[in-house]
Amino acid sequence: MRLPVRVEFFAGGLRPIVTACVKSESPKIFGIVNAIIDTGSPTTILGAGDVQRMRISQVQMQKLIGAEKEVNLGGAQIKTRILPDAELKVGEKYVKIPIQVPVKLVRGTPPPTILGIDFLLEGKFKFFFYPEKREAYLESEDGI
Amino acid sequence: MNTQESQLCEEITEFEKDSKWFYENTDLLRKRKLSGKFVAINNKEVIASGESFDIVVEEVEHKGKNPAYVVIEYVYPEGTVVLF
Repeated sequence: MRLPVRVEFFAGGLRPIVTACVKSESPKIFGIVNAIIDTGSPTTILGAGDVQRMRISQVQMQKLIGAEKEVNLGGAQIKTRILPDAELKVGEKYVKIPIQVPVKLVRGTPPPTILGIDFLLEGKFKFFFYPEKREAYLESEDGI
Repeated sequence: MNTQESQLCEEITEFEKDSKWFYENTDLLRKRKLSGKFVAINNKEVIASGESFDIVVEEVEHKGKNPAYVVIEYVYPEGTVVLF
C-alpha cells in the first residue's frame, strides 16, 4: 500500500509533506494538520500553531502526561508534554503513537507538525523521497 | 462510509487543496505584503492575516469557520531557510 506524499517548497527548501488527521479521546483533540516527514527526528511533535488551531481547553491540556520538556525546533523554543494515545490518520492508514504536544511557545515562530521515526516505525512504513522529481511516498506492507 | 466519515474526507480534501495553494503561491503572498505574517486560507483565498497567530485564529472563528479545519501558515520572508 502506497500513500502519496507531497513535495512542497516551504521555509527555504523542498519538504515531504502529508496532510494528517490527529485525534485523541483523552484529552479530547481533533484536527487536520500538514506534517513534514523528518527522518532526522526520533519523535513526532504536533505543531505549536496546530495546537492553537484546535482550540484545546486548559482542562484538556492538563490531561497530557509527563513533565514539561524543553524542545528547540526550527529556531523556536517550546515546552512540550506527552499525548499518550494520539491517532494519526494518513490516507487510509491509522497510526497510534504517543506524540509531543507544545504547551508553551517560549519564543520564535510556531514550528509545523513533524512526523518522526516513531511514526514510520509504528506504521511499518518505508519512506521514498526523490526531490529532483518531486516524488515521495510512504509504503506499508501490512495492507491496512 | 458513513456521513461523518464522508464529511471528514471532504474536509481533508479541502484542507489539502488550500495547503497546496499556499505552498504554490507563497511568492504572491509576499508581493501582497504578507511576508512575516500568518495567513488563513480557505477556498484558495486569504480570509485572515496578521502578525499574531491568536488574532488570525480569532478572525477565522468570527468568519464562522472552525480553525481546526482551516490552513493557517506563516509566510516566511524571502530567503529564509528554516532547519527542522
